[in-house]
Amino acid sequence: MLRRTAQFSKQAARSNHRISFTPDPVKGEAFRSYQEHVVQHAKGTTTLWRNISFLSLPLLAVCAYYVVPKEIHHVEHMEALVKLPDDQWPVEMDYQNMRHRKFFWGDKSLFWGPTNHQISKE
Amino acid sequence: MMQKNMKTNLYQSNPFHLVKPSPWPMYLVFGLFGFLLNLTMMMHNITDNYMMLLINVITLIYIGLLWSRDIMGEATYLGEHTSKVSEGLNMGFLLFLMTELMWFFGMFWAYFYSALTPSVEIGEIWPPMSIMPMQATDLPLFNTLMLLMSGATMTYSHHALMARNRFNSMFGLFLTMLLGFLFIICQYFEYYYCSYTLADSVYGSVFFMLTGLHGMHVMTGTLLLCLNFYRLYNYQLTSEKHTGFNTSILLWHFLDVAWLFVYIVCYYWGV
Repeated sequence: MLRRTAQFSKQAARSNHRISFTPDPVKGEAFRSYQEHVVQHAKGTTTLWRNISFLSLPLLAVCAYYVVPKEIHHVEHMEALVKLPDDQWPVEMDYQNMRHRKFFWGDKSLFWGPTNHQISKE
Repeated sequence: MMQKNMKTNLYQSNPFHLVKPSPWPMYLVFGLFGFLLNLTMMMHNITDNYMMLLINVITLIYIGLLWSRDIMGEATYLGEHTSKVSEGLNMGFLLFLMTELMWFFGMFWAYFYSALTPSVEIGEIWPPMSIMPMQATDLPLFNTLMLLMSGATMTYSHHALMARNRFNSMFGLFLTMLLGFLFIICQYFEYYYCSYTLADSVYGSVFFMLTGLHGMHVMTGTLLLCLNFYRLYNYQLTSEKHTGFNTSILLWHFLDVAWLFVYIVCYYWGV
């Protein structure tokens, strides 16, 4: 590998190609110091955003505490609705449960839960 | 690698990535054509052969994987993504986000068109009668909080990466992925126990179109985050150069903001 690299550089030196990349130490140092500045700055902001992330965890827990019982109630309500006899079902309007033709997987829409309408008979 | 760099320095007087011929664009076009053709034929009940669609999907995923593998190789091992190239990639992704913005804009337009002057067929009221809309303070509130928090963990991960802090970066990204997955699961749960469907008047159509569009994008975003997690784990991202990670972050924040609008319009204003 090294031998081949040396060969290659000799060959390159002999050829007429101009080396298009000439190192500029000033620019290089500027780039390096900028990167170092970014790293130093990011160290502080990492702590800040870590604290924000972890402080919002309890907030999420409080929200879950508030939402979960309501959601369970909602599910219970919807499941009780299914057990109603047909004549006590909520009135279905003309614009509801539209079927001009079947979906290509069948008669039910994609997220068909136990609580959706009964499919109207053709 | 060394030789390759020397060669580039010798003969290439520009910082751009001059791409080599690649089969993937052509393959992708054929794959997409087959996929759309079969999907359309299935939707119009011309055929009910699931097998062809399945083969198309597998082909598309396979091409996607191979193409991204090539790009990752170019970026990580061949050093083709110079600062200038990264700039271009970022700009391309921003243009892509603009198209996404227009897509969302169109869907919002449809929502407002239906909601601001409800048609005679649905009784000129919004939401139409005997449709029970979702409550903004139920599960959607939890979803909103999760997405907002995932924005914070995303920033935490990004800044940790810039600060050369591998563990914190991976931990933040893991938290973001987790929140993304949770969001998708909650959204599925919400759809499953929803009292109306896509086929329940224009209300159901525009509601599921908007939230579903956002949900599809969250799925894509979570996939991208998984990909980035894999790359981070494999030491492919550095503190100076992480273009793929940057673009994923852009998409994630875009989705964050888009969800805020979806939440306000679909769950608060429109009910």
